[in-house]
Amino acid sequence: MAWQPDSVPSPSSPRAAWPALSTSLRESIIAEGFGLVDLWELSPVRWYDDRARADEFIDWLFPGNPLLCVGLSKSKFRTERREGFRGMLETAALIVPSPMSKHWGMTKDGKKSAHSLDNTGSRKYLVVEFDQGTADDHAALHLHLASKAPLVCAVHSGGKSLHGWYYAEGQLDARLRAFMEYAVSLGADHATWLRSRFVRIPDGQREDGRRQTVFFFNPEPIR
Amino acid sequence: MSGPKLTTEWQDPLEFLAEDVRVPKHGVNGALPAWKDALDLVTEPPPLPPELITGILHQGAKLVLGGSSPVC
Repeated sequence: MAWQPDSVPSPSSPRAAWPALSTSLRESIIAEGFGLVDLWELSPVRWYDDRARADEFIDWLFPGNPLLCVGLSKSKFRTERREGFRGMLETAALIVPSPMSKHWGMTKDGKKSAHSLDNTGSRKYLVVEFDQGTADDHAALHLHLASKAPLVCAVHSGGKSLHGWYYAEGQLDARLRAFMEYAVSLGADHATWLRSRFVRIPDGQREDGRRQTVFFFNPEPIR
Repeated sequence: MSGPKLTTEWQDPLEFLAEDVRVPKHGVNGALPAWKDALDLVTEPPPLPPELITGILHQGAKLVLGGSSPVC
């Protein structure tokens, strides 16, 4: 059959499917016995009081007053300079884990929005979320991944998942994709591969008032 | 039990990515070779074939001579 120009995948073609869960690999990692307490004890930075520190974490994670997209919920959000959110982050739930490139963008539906892929800047953090299993399982998996990539922050969602923030600035997309595929093979949700995807603000607060506790923080890779 | 070793640098995925969790990178054509880091090629370029005409033609390369019709 003759070659057809239309058969050539364009750069915007859907990517190949995500890998299936590798149960044996996941279980072998969890069986090593590490858990949430190990993640906490290995954290280079720890706090021993109960004060909410969302502002401090965001200062570390996003220095230089960049544009950020912050949401009280998935439908109530705005994009503005980091300083515009000072004092408000402890009660906010969601953030795009990369600086925004402009205040407004166009959604896939063609609507103007402060939260879209169109106005999301280049990737600064690749967030990996585990939501199946226990918090100890999730911690074990993040500790395993943290031997492959620089884990900066681990945030409990206040619900059933643990988010790991891996410092991704300047990394090749192919390398990040391979890492994400590996994480997905361990049971991570591939949804956070989307740069504009909302994740939990470190030490923020869910809509129901539950705290999004930080269990690990290492600013060293950012410096 | 020794603690896990945390890194502050990205490790090469080829060193930890098990073969059974890789997925085809180009849809139906899953037979492509493994990824190579372009930096490796820049750092250690592949050897050049022998030169047949110094500065102009390597073995295995093609040379095209052209010109306007009265010349050729």
